[in-house]
Amino acid sequence: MTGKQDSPVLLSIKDVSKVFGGLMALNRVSFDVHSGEIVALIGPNGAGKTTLFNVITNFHPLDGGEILFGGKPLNGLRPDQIAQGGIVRTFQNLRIFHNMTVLENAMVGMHLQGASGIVSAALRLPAAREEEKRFHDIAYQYLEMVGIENRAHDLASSLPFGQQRLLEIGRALAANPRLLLLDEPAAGLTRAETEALDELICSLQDQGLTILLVEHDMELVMNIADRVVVLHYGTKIATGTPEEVQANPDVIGAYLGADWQQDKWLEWMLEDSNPNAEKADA
Amino acid sequence: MKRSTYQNKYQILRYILIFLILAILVVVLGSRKNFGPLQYAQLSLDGLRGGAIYALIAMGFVIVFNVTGIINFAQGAFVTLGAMFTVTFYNLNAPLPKSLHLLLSVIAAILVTTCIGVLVERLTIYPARKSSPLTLIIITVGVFITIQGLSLLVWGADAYVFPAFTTLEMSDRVFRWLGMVIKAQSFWIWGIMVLVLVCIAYFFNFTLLGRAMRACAVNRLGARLVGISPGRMSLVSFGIAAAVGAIGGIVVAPIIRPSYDMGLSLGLKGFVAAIMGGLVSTPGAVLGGLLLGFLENVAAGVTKAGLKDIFAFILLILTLLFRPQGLLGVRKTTVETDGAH
Amino acid sequence: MNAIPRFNSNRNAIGWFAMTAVIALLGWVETVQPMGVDFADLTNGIVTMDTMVRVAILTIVLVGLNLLMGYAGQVSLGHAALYGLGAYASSILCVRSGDLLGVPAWVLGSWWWPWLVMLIGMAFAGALAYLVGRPILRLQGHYLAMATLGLGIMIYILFRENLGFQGQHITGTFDGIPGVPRLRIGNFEIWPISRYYFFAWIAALGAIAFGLNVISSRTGRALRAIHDSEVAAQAMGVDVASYKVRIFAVSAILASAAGSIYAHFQTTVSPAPFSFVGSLELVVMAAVGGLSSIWGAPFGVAVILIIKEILRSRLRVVFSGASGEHEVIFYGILLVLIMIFMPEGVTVGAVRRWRLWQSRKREQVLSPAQPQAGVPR
Repeated sequence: MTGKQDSPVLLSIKDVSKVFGGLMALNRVSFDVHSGEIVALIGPNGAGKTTLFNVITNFHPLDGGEILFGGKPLNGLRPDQIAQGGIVRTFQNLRIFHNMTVLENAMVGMHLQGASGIVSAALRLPAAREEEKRFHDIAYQYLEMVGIENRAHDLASSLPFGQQRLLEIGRALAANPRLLLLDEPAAGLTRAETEALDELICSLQDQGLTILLVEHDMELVMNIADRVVVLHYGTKIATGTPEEVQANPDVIGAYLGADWQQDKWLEWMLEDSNPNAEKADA
Repeated sequence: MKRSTYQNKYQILRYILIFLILAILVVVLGSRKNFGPLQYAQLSLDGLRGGAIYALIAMGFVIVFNVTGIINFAQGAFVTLGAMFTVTFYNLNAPLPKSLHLLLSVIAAILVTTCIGVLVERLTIYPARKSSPLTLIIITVGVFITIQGLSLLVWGADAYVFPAFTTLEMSDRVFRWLGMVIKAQSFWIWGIMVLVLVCIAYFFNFTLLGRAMRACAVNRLGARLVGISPGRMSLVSFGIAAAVGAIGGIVVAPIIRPSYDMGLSLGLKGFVAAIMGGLVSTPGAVLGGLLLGFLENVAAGVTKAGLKDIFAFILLILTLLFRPQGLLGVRKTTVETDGAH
Repeated sequence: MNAIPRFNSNRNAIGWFAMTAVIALLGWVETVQPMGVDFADLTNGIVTMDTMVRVAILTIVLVGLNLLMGYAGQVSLGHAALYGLGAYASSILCVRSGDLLGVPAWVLGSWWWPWLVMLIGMAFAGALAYLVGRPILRLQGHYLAMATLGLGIMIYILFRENLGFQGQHITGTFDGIPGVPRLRIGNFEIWPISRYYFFAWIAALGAIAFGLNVISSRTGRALRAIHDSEVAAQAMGVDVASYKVRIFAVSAILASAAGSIYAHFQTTVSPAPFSFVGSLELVVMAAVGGLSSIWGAPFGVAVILIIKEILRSRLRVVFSGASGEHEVIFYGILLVLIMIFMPEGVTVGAVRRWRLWQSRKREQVLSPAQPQAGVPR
């Protein structure tokens, strides 16, 4: 959880805007994600967080601004090309492959690391067979990493919800990303599962992965995020360490309603938790 | 916003340009056959007549699609049934003046076809209402071929004769206007198309049942929450589509000798018309139908008559590729938003 | 990394070899005729060599269709037209290309020309599918279904119309093109029918092996991923559009090959089997056999063709005076029933139900029910 402001910028969001009909879902949002950081994107429902993910991976084209990954602009690339470039995402409402086994799901995650096509598959060329074996073994390791290897040959739809979430993360990891976008990974998880997720994400960071996550679970965010970016109605309203953001009056206003300062009772409540106490280890 | 209005103007220009190019092409081809403005007018008029039939059939597609989200391939079967039942009823011996006999046969045929439409919905669509779109498409295709096969069984493979509405004979009264030949039946067709369009519009806009159906189309869950039963709406929509399809088959029968397989080609073209109109509204269906009839007839007229069907499908492919939302439709995008569903 | 469960596709291999053995055995019965029994006697005349050859030919088409519809999840309501392309390519280029294109007689008469034509047909069908597929496969659901339907009918109309070219006819209206030669290798003619049976089934078994291999590969997984969630597949780096087009082209190539084999079998190619009803028959066969199962291909074809035979021979009495299209009633009802009750196909549906019934029986014996987490194959 050390600050990594001095490492190179991996993802650069510059003045990004997105409009849906009459609704401005993203309004000139700008921030950077440094290599090796964990950045959390928070904000009330409808703030535009998933939209930002969709725009980064080009499931929706942007209407303004620019996104640079490793210094190079992303506009115009197809979503699968963006995945090839190293940005892999998970989905808020799980999109695992229901009719395939858990292991096969992970093997699809490894798709970009293979090269066999229809012809070599049909003829069962030795190169294709070698690749299959390699895929099989490595995918299994990814399942072990997220802890669901014991269900490897079960149908993905038969897994309980928490394990399906883990599968989606495991599948994304199998794609060997440089930047991992996690869309509400803790949604619907139990306390224990969330703690396990906490450990997993930290261990991923230790292995050098850069992570941008959208999350509502504040405890998770406070624990693991290096920096936090807050969106509200499509606009960035604050950025900083978790502690800084927690104390930021605009952020509190966004969650609680703009008139919160008039509420004496609320003021008393917040004084109590004393956000201006010692800063976290920088 | 700003970008899209600019795009709109640009798009309209593009369509005008395409239209001009096509018009020039048509004139060039037509000149090889020595076509003058009279021939074009005749082709256009005949095309609009065919187009009105497609419009009627397309309305059936649009109604079912709007309420249930299903493309009902069996729509063509209702066309066949409407015409064939009328023939059967008209050929019964009855001590009635011909016009009354025809009218009663028509009404009876429409009623029977409507009942069959409702039956189809209950027996095949309702049990599968939770299936995937592909499954539902295949089911309606299965229904179509079943009905077509049964029609073959009941009526045989021959084409029947059907009296024209004006003369109640096989030969129709013919009008001549500015050198063009117009069959009296054409006026029946256009008139009935307009009548049906008006009735449907009134129904959907001013009656409670119609508005309930529209609610279902816009938001199924919301409609249920206020007490509207989607199952019942689906049933009604199939009934109306069957009736409208039957009417289409009946008005065209004097021109195209009715047979057991008339519904296949007409149904497909009705579908093309619906797509061209945008699958969103009955006026769109009418627009699509008239446009389709006009374009295919002119194109076939300047080339080869047997290629008429090919032109219809070329229009289908072009529409699907370049403007899948049709003339009046809106492009749909799937949006995955934050939390709030 | 203690005990990684061994990865194998041996189950498929066993099934394939078993099938090959059965086919070979049946062929042996026909050629050798032990104890005076020939193939048709085995089923009392219901299933003949003729039927078996047709099953083989349509199996090749169905493998392609299953890959496209069942695995990649793309609808095709015009596949019979692609089948027809192969048939017409073979017939036109073997019979009429002398007049039309000036192909010299020595080429036309050679043994290798029909084989070359078959390859040309496959290449043409593949190229057409590739070209047309790119824009069309972007469509979803019923739009795609209608586009394929429209294309299929357009191609059928081209077969049916009497198209002329410098005074010569290319396609020959409803009567078709007669005189397609039999296939030969050198001087060895692949005829009589027992020889063609082996040829057709070698091709069919090859197609099945092809399908099975593709399914259990990276490509197969990509296709199934596309079927389950295009969005997620893209997010994992699968170039969805490219895969869809490629599998469409593959299915077209297979259909064309089957069409050529059909042409040399039938020796007269007419447009009737390639109409919308023909495409529908293919979809019914795929549905009966199971859209997501390569094994469903031969099974679905066999069931439908055998039922057709029975209907034709036994029920002619009932439908006297009919012009022979009554089987469509049967197809329609069958299609509707299968789609309502067993949309995953009769093979998979039957297996699933059997397993369910078995696990229920087991529940009655054991007290606490054990949750079954098996993988249906």
